[in-house]
Parts: sequence; structure tokens; C-alpha cells
Amino acid sequence: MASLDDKSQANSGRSPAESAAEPTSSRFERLPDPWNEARAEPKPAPAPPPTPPTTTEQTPPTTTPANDALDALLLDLQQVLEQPVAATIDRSPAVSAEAVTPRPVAEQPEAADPTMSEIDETPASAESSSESAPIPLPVESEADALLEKLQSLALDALNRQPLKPPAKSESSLEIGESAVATSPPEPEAPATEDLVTIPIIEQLVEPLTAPTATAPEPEYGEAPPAIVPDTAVSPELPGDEPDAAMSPEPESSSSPIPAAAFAGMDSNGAAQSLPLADQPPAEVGVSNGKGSEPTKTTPGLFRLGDRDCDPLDVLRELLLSPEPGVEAAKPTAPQPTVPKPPRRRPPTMPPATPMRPATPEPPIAKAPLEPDAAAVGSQPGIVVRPLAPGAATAVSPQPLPSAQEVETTYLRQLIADLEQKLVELEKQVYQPTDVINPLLPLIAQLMKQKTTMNEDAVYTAVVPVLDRAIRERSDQNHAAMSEALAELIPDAIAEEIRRSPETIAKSLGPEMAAALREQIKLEKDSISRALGPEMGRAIKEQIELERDAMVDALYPVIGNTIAKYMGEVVAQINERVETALSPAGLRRKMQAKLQGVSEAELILQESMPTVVQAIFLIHKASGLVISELQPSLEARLEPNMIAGMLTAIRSFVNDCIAQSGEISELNEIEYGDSRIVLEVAGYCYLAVVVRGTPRQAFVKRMQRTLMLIVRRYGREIEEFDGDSSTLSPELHNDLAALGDSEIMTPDGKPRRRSRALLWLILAILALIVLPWSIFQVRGFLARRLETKLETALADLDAQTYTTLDAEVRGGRVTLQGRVPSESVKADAAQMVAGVAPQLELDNQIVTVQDPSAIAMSVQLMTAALNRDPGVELTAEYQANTVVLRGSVGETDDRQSLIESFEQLPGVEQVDAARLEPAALQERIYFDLNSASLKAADRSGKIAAVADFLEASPDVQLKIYGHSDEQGTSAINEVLARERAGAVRDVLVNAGIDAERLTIEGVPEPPEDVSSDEPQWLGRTVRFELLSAPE
Amino acid sequence: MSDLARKICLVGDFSVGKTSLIRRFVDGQFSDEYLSTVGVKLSRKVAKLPQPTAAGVTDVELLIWDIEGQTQFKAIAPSYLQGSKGAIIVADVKRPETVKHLHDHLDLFFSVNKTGSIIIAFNKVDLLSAAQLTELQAEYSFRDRPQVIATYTTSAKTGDNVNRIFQELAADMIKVS
Repeated sequence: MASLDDKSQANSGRSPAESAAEPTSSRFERLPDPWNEARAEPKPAPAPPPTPPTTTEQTPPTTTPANDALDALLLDLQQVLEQPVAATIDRSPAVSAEAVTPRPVAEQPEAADPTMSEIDETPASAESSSESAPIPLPVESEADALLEKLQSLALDALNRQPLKPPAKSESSLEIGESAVATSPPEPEAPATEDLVTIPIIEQLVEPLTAPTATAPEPEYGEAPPAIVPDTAVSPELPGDEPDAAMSPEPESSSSPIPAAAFAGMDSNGAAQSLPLADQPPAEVGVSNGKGSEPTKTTPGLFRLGDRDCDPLDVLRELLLSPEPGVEAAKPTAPQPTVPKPPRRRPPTMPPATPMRPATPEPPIAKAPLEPDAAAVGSQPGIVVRPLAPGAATAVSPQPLPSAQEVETTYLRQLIADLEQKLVELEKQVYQPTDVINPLLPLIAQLMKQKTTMNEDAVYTAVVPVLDRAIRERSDQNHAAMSEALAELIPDAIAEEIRRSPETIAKSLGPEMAAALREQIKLEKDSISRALGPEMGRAIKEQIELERDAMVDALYPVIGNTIAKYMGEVVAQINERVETALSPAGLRRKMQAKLQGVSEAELILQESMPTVVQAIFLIHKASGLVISELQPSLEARLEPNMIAGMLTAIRSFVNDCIAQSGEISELNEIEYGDSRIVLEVAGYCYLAVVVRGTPRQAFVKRMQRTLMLIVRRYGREIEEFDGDSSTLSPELHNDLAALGDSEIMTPDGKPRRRSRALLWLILAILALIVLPWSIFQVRGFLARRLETKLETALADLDAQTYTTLDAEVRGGRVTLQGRVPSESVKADAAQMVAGVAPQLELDNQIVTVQDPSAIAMSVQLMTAALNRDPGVELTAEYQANTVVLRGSVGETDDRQSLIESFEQLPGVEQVDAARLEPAALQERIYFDLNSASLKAADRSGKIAAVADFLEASPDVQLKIYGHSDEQGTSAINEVLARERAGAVRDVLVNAGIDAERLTIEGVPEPPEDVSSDEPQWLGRTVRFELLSAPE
Repeated sequence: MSDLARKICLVGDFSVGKTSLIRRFVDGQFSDEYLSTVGVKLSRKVAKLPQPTAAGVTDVELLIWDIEGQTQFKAIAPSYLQGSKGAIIVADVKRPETVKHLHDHLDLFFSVNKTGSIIIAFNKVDLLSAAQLTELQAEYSFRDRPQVIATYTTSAKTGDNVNRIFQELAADMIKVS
């Protein structure tokens, strides 16, 4: 209640203060503002004098018209009860938004009517106010009457006392309400307030001020919780209510009060000041509010205010008196419910509180309170007093002197009633549940209705606080806040993304990298796993979008890789080629050796045939083409464009790149597998576009051609200005000559080379093959002749030791072999001459006397002759002579036999002496010691011998007589001789010349008879043919 | 073959619209984008001669050298101007300093080519009001330079006088030679 009053007063105070013209305003001006004092001392100084009068003046009126004033106060209270909630809420945000300095002047002047206008202006607020009004009413219905009285009282009080409170309230209002211009109000307020209030305040408050100053801050810290509930309950209402409050009663506009309440110190101060002047109850209420419970809506405010002005009291109550403590418990109870809001306010409040409220208000509050307290002391309402004992004491003096006896009794009664009502009201107010509960359903409805009717108003009311509210709450209970918001965040983000993706992108963008890094830190593989599958497509996409950029990016990596790979491949090729023994390989090898380059290079060169694509003769200065040569096949190059660009590049190189002072020329531009070779001379230069690598020879030819052209057409070229008709047509022909030599025929010269090489190889082959083939042919012919000759010579085989060889070489035949005689040799020569008369004969046949061979043939002949019956011979070959031994049956046979041996090759003489007839082989045996012939022998054996001898007259015969080994040799010798003689005699008798017969006696057996044989074999005569005597 | 070719240069400060003029003349296009020319850019267009030459040639191939504009840090390389029988020197009517530099460019051109035809082009005339135009034209005159055969206000954006300057220059170059 008190707070409400305060507020109303404050409002009224404000309005006057604001409207400088009004007396109230002047009062206000006089009233010393604790803030002002606190802020600026100079002002307070003048204030003191005026203040006392004002206070005195005010106080008396309050006592007399007390009823009215009380009624007014009640009304105010009622309004306040209704509005405070809204007001506080509204202001609290404002306060929070703008610390201490609200819109001072603007609102204050309007306070009475202006407030209305303001309300009107803000329809939302008006509506809300209307709505809010009904709510409080029902609650307070009981106290309506009282309230009315109070209200009237309050009004009176306000009229009189507004000075103090208004000033404070104004200031507070300003602060509480969104401060439009802080600076202006402050200065005014101080001035007015100072005049009246300061002295009183000083007197009354002195003791209190100190405590308040200390207390306020801590209380704020405590208070906040209590405040919170209000704001929490009806955020919208505040905005409306304050307006409503303003509208009904400009003077006591509740709105200002709440603002004051928010301001904390100010509101309290105002509240206190009001009670002092008019009605103690109000004060009491205030005190109660402080102690136990401020109105439901403004509990926070009240407390704040209380703390501001009575912080000490409250503390004392809490600490010292158990009862107050109980009361205090109530306020504390609400606090817990809404812990957050308090914080909001406190931060803003503190600045305001320390400044003004602390010092000034406490005094005022105490002064009025005390008197009231004293008056009301006995009454129930006084219960609250304990809270502000100090204040009560201070105040009491004032009310007593001012009130008249009659009136006092009446007043006391009234006050008692009022207090009772107030207490009830307070209860209702301070026990939020009682008041709030009925409100609760309505609040929701209100909110809804308000929202539907005027969304903007709700927004404006709520919006300024929201951020702060959220922040506060999250400070207080981080987890709860997170939990509350958590559900919304995903949807909120999704919605925002849908609505304005760019904004989201912009806000998230800068943190994306950090977020990714963090995630990678947390889970190393997660990001790569997430991105991995998309990388391929991303790269592909990027390549499509910006191929060059990708190439640039990848080149350093891939370029090296490819280079390495190519190097390996080339090395492989090289290796393969080197090991291959193809003619091409050999040629390449030779070429590589000769040129001193690697074979691989040659291979590459071979694989890229050189093609001259175009030849341009370009004017050096203008870059215009003088003459050009292009194959008709390929896409034609734009000559003047190329020439111009080349010229520009040349200029660029000369101007910008070449060192100053040096003249360096651009010789070649390479692009891909092609290049432009440049030759400069005179006023022109030659540019040849070549695919592949031009050979040195071609470059030389270029130079020669260019020199020739410059020499011949130098003048024309120098004066060339783009008109080709000024040139002699020969120029083009000369250039064409260069082209003809090479142009457009891919790889001309290499082919010629290979052909020459082929010829060389062929020649070598011919050299090798021809002689060989000739030799082969000739050999074949010779072979045929040889065989012919040899078959012919084979006829002589019988007469030769070895087969005769005929070797034909060239026109010459060589005979080789071994023959026994010159005749055979001659025969062979004759035969060759017969077969191949054209050949020259080299007769190397050797005539050989081979004893073994002769012996062999002799043996063969012997064997052959022995086959005849009657022939029994052995032949022996010694030194060209064959010695025959044996017997022959027929004499004739003997002769022919000897002849056949004589014909054998190599046999020059035959000794047939030992070849005897069979008859001579017989032996004639004798008896022991006898030399007489047996008859049979005479006619037999001896007769045969005689026949032989007769047939072979030239044969001489030796007759040997033998004896056995018995007897003496002498006897045997005689005996042997006799025996031989006997045979000779017979022969002679048979007519044989004795001279052809020779006898000899050998006194022993023949050599071929051994001693172990029978003796009779030794007693014999044998014949031996002697060769014919020579 | 009797071809007729001529090299002409476009000279002027940077961003006066040389490239745009050429683009308008050669391709018939215009773009607001500003792409600074680096070094030299070559374009080619065959222009019809108003009357056949003595040799009976009716066309001339214009090789248009779009030379990097002069900036305060970089002068035009004189070697690019060599052999040019004609030049169009361009200024931006919205930038007075580019107009002031016209004489410098003329001097540069004549220092390289003693003879040669010049056309002055006040470009971007579409950005100027008619009144400003006449004022401008009155202010600048190149009568003292006989080789300046004409002065035109041009606009690559609208195509004003663009073909005309090239055609006229081409005709004059052939006549002179």
C-alpha cells in the first residue's frame, strides 16, 4: 500500500515538478532531493530553508483533510495494487535498460492528464490497464470503501505533500520508465526538491540515512528474488497497468510509483514521504510492505523501495524482532519463487539507489512513518511498524503537533479502520497466492487477449527484457535453461535455415572450420569418414566447374608423378630397345653414338614426326605478315593474328625481360608438342610453326633462306606497310622454296637415310652372298666332274693300291693315289684326258713298291694255285723275288705256275728251284745194314724219278743216302754212300746221264726224322732237285 | 594475292574503354565488367573501304592492337606502337585527367611513328548530358595537329560512333599510304 501511495504521490509530484508553472512544481523544486543532494551539493544548500516551511505546511493539511486524503490514498493504493505489477514490470525493464535516468520531464508534466494521453497513445497499455483494473477490484472489493477514503486522503496528501515524494518519485519515475532524457530531469528535480525537503529530511533522516546507505545495496541483492515474481507473473500487465494507473489518477499515478519502486530508493522515498505528510497508514503499509509483504504485484518493488529507504529497518526487523522476521519470511517466500527477475532489477537499481534514495528518502520516510506509527501504534496495522522503528520515532513528533484532538480521535478511528483494511489488503497483497491465484487464469487470458488485440504492444513490453531475462535465468540455472531451450533449438535452426539460409550460413560460417577441427580432435576419423565418400564426387564437380584451378592445384603432385612414371617407361623402352637387335635398333644405336644423344631421345623423336605446319615472314615493326606458307590441309592459322601476337611477344621480351643494353631475341616458343621457331634478320623475321622437333639442318636452311630474302628484298620489306601488292612475287617463291624442301612432308630426311642404308646393306649382302654362291655353283660343277672322273678311274682299281682321287678346282684336276707302276699311272692320266680333255692335269699319283702288298698278292696266288690237284706249293716273297717250294704233279703245270707268279705286280723274279715233282718226294728205305734195293722200289719209285729226269733234262738231281743212328759213323757213312750209289746206279742204268746225278752219304737220319721215330726211317735215300747249273 | 592489312593501335589511360570500343567494333558486344588488359590484346576485323584502291582492293584487314592502358605506374611500351599506320586515342569523358593525357599519347605515338593517322575518341559519352558534351567538344580541339583526322564522342555501350571511327581511320590510312 505504502508503495502505491508513494507512487501516486510520486506521480503527482512529478507532474507538478514537470510543469514548472504549477505551484506544486515549485514545491517540488524546493523539495530537496536526496539524489540531488547526493549528486550535487550546491543545490541542497539553498534547499534547506524552503523545505521546512513546505513540510510544516503540508503536514497540517494532511491531518485535517485526513479522511479525504486517506480515501484518496486508498484509491491510490487500490490502483497501485492493480497497477504496480504492470508498472513494476514495465519499469523494471526500463530501469534495466536505462539505469537511473528515465524520461523525466516528458512524463512528469503529463503525469495527471498527460499520463492519460500517453496511455491513449499506447493502446495496448490502455487496454491492459482496463483489464487489469477489474482484476484488482474484485480482490479488494471489501476494502473499497477504505480504499476510496485512502485515496482521497492520498490525494490531499499529494496535493500538499507531493513536494517531497513527487520530486523523488519523478526522479524515480524517470528512472523507472524508459528514460528518454536523463540529464534534464535530474537537474530540475534536485532544484525543486532541495528547497523544501532537504531540511526535514536531514533532520529526520540523519540517523537513518547512514544505515540506509549501507543497507540498500545488500537489500537489493536480497530483494531481487521478491521482485521477480511480479515481472514473471505478468510481463504484459506492467506495461498496461502503469498507463492505466497514470490515467485514473495523474497525481498519484501508480505508474510513477512503480517506477520509483523499481528505482528502489526513489520509490521508497516517495512512499515514505507521502505517509509523513498525509497518512501514517500509508506509511505503515509501506513499512509493512517492507517488513512483511508489499503488494503482490509490487512486492519486488516494495521491497526494493523498502530496502532503499528502509533497508536498515527491514534488516533490523529481520534480525532483531522475531515477528518481523515472520513477516519478512513472507516476502522471502515470494522471492524463492522468482529468483531470476530480482537479479535483473538489482543491477539497474543499484546505481539509482545509492545516488538519491539512500540518503533523502529514508529521512522522509521515517519522519512520516513514525508519526503514523505512533498514531496507529495500537492498531493492528501497526504490526508492521517494528520494521521501521527508527522511522517511527523520527516521525512521531510531527503528526502529534499537527493533529487536533477531535479530529485526531476521529482520525485515529478512521486510521484504525483503514489500517485494518490495509492490513487485510496487505495480506492479500503480500500473500501473492491470495491475490495472484484469482489473477492467474485471468493473466493468461489477458496475455492472450492482449496479444490478439495488439501484438506490438506486447512485443514492446516484453521484448526489452527478454534478452536480459534469458541471460539472468541462464546465469542462475544454466542446466534448466539449456534444457528448456534444447528442444527448441533444432527446430529453430531448421526454421531459420528455411527462412534465410544465408543468415545462418553467415553466422555459422566463421565457426565451421573451428567446429570441424574440434570434432576431428574429439573423434579423429569421424570427419574423414563423413566426407570421404563425397570426395570423389566433389572433385569431379570441381573439375567440371573449374578445370584450370584443379589442374593448377594438382599439377605439382601429378606432374611429378607423371614425370617419374614417364622416366621409368622411357628407361624401360630404352632397355628394351638396347637389347633388341633389329636393324632399326642397330641404326638407332649408330645414330645415337654419332650424335652423342641417348637412344631413348631418338626413339621419342622418331615417334614424333616433324611436321612444318606453317611459315610466316613477318614485318618486324608492324607485325604484319609479308608472306606466308601454309599447308592447305590443316585448319588455317590466322596469319596476321599470329604474326601480331608474336611481334607483341617479341617486343615484350625485348622490352621487359631482356637485360637492358643487351639485345636478345626470342628464338623459340614451345607449346605442347609444337613450337614456333623464330629467325630474325633485318626488318623482318621468319616464324616457322613446327610440330615435333625441327632438325638442325632445317634450322640452318631457314637461316640461309632468310638471309637470301633479306638480301634480295630488303628494301621492299623495309617499306612494307601491309600492302602485299608492293612486294615482288619472287619473294614468295623464295620462301616457298624453303617450304618445298621440308614442308608438310612428315619426316622427309630420315626416310632417305634409311633408303641409303638399305642400299648399303644390300651391297654388303651381295658382296657376301655372290662369291659364296659362285663358289657354291662352281663347287657343284666340279663335284660332278670329279665323280665322272673317279668312276672312270675305278677301272684301274685292280692295279692300284688305293682308289684313285680326282680333284677338280678351277680348270685343273689333280689325281692322287698310289699305284704300283708307272704304267698304271700313265693309264690313269690317259683316262682323265679322255673324260675331261679341257682340264689341266696335275698327276700326283705315286708309284709305290710295297713289299707287304706284293707278299699279299703272292700269298693270294699261291692259295689260288693250290686248289689244283697235284699242286702243293708254298711261296715266299723276299726282295722282289718269289721263292716257290712244293711239288707239282705235271711238269707243264710247273712252268705255267711259275709264269703266273711272274705276272704278279712287283714280282720281278721267281725262284722255282724248290718246286719239285711228286716223284722226288718219295724216299727209298733199306734194311738194317743193307744197301741193296728192294725190287719194288726199283720198278716203282726209282722208275718215276727216272721218268722225271728224262722229262726234265736240264734238271740235276742230288741223291742223299742216310743211315740210322745204330752202328758207328764210319760204317754208317759207307753204308749211306752205298745206298745212294745203288740208287744212282739204277738211274744210270735207266739211261740217265750220270753227270746229272750226284750222291752223298750222310751217316745219320734226315733232318726231318727225329731220334724217337723208328730207326728204319733213317735208313733211307732221298732226292733233292738242284737248280739247273748256270 | 593482293591483301591489304593495317595495324592500328588503341591508346589511352587505363579504363577509358579501349577494349570495350574494340569489342563493340569487332564483336558488336558490350559488357560493364571491367577487365584490365594486360600487355597487348590483338583483334582483327576486315573493314570495307569506301572505294576500291588503285589495285582494286576493296577490303582492308585491320589488326587492332589493344594496348594496356597507361597508369601512373606504368607507361605504354613504345614498341607496341611500332609499325602502326593509325591509332585511336581514347579518353574517358567522365575523367578529365584522361582527357588531359590525350596530348601525351599523341606525342608518344608520333615519337614512334612519324606518319600515321589519329582519331581522338571521347568515350563513355553515354554518361554525359548533351550540354556537357558540347562544352567538352568546345574545350578540346586538336586543330594544331594535322594528323588528327577527326575527334569523336563515342560510347561503346550504345555503339555511338564506334564503327565510324574505325572505318574512317581505315579509309584514311589507305589514302595516306
